[in-house]
Amino acid sequence: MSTLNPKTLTKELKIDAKAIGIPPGAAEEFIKRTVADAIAALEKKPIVTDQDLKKAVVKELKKYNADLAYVYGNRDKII
Amino acid sequence: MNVFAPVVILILAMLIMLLLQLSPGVFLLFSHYASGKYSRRKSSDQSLFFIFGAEICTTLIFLSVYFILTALYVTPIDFENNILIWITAGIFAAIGAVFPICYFRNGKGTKLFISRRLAVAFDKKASSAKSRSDAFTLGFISILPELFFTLPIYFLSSLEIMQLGDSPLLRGFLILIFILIAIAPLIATHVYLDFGHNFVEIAKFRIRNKNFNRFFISSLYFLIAIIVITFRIINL
Repeated sequence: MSTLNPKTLTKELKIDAKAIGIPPGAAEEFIKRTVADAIAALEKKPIVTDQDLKKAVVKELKKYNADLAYVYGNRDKII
Repeated sequence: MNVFAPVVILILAMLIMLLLQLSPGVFLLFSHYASGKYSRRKSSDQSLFFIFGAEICTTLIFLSVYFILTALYVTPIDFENNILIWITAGIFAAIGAVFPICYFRNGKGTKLFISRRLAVAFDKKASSAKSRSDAFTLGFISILPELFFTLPIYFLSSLEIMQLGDSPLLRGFLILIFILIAIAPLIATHVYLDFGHNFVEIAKFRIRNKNFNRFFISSLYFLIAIIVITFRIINL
């Protein structure tokens, strides 16, 4: 379930981060950066799909926390 | 009374119930979202209601099948001439044949046979569950899409429990064991998460064992079909 709304995306990532035990302060900081960088990376594309957004977010998240990147990238592949 | 066939069939059926993936998958998603949104105590409480829902659904289905069969077969079952046993053996063999192809979808992850629309609906429901009743409902409905694979197991297990004697105590005990085994993966996941492990470890474990699961469960279905044919239809 990905979304192009930065606020919703941030909220989803914060839930994932809390669930895997990342301290909230650190999570908030790098999630803010991740969302901003992912949206910036997609700005040049004329059409942005859910998959594009997911790839961009996962790519950015990997810089900060591999587990969170894994959760965000694979949550929809569980069932 | 030959107890070999009923006991082996029940053990193999319980093994299949232990290894099926849909309900544990939905539970994993649900626990993940709950622990991300709520305190540890509240998420643990909701997870228990999910397990309770799954338990109730399994119990209702199993007991329904069992009581329908006890009403149908008041006298001892003549397995050799019973068309239902032939059909059951055929269904087990057919499920064994299609299981490796259709249970897991191809590609990354452990995507299952359910439609993508249903998978998204489960995901949405898991992420938006707020109360114990939401958790209970989700647990309850997570059992239903797998009925194609589990209903023949409930059917045959009920028949075999009926063959193991008339004692209501023994039958009740076996039914209880069967139902507890069916939800054991949920309890194991819950305990594992409560001990501080997370979604990533379980998701990776599921992926690592995907192919093993696929072929092991398939062979269990085949084995049950062979045992039914050998000891029930041919009656060696």
